[in-house]
Amino acid sequence: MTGRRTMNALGGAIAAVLSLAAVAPIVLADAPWPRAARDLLATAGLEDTGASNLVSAIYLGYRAFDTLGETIVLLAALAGSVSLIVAEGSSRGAGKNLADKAKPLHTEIVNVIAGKLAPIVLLFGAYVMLYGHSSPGGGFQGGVVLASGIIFIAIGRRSGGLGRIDPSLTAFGHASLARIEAAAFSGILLLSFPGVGRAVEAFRVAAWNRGLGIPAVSTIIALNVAIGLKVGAGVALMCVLMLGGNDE
Amino acid sequence: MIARSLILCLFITGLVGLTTRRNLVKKAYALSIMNSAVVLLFVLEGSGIGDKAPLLGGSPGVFVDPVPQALMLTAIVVGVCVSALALTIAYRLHRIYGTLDADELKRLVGHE
Repeated sequence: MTGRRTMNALGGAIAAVLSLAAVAPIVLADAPWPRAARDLLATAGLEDTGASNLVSAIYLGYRAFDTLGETIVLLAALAGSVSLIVAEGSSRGAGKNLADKAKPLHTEIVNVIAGKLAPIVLLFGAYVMLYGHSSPGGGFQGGVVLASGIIFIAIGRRSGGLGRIDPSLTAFGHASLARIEAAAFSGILLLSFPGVGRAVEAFRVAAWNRGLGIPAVSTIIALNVAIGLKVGAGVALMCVLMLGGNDE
Repeated sequence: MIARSLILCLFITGLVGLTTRRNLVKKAYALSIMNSAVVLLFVLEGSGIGDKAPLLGGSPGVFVDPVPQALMLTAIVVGVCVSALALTIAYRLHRIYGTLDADELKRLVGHE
């Protein structure tokens, strides 16, 4: 075994030296960063998209179609993970159900703290999601915070009874999470379709003429909310399934 | 230059972990460390031309380039996807074969 360990260490050292030689010039090169994109966005970003958070302006205003591709990557990874977790398979060897080993973690302290913290975390997630256009945050970040709130609810349930109630009936069971994710994804699909932006703009101008002011940033807020719900439901679904909610 | 050297160290740490560790969960974490190093490098590059967060209407001053930050948002999301999928595959392999050791798994899968 020691021979193999030396071989491993030697291989690691060689890999480290070779990659150091390959990567060091890229990382250490101190070329000046171009200012053109920043200056253009500083002058035109708010006018074009309505979002004062310029990062949101880029990935939801200018490049919403790319964000659709990004959510498809997320959807594919989640679908693969979820199907691998729930797939029935022969469990051989020492690898018994991980949920059985996780049971001792359900102490009274974890139950109480997680249950009390969950509403606060959910509220913060909603704030990050809804104000992504004007302050640091956005759909992806808010969605992950929402997911941690849902996980707090899941582990805060008494006596470790994840999904003790029928999972299709509870608001945070995995059946409804999957439904929320599907609905939010169709929302993103609709909102980032190229023609929709123009249609929304035409509708906005028409509403403006009738005296109804709809701010230009409303598309970005809607996209942020849809992405937040999709990411939150997807990540929470995967974690709830990993915690062992599918066994009951 | 110190920041760049530290990012290089972080990247090499992840790469060494990926090549020498035999535990699949540690390999997944090493991938995640490499991803963090790349994200940090891009954010550092973009911050070379300013020092404020890219929010309009805040305090006056030159802000950083928002383009690398928007790109790195995508990179973080894809990194999370990769981590999730890798960890799930490790979980599934552990359920079936009862081990997380890459060499042992190679031996076990080869004998099927």
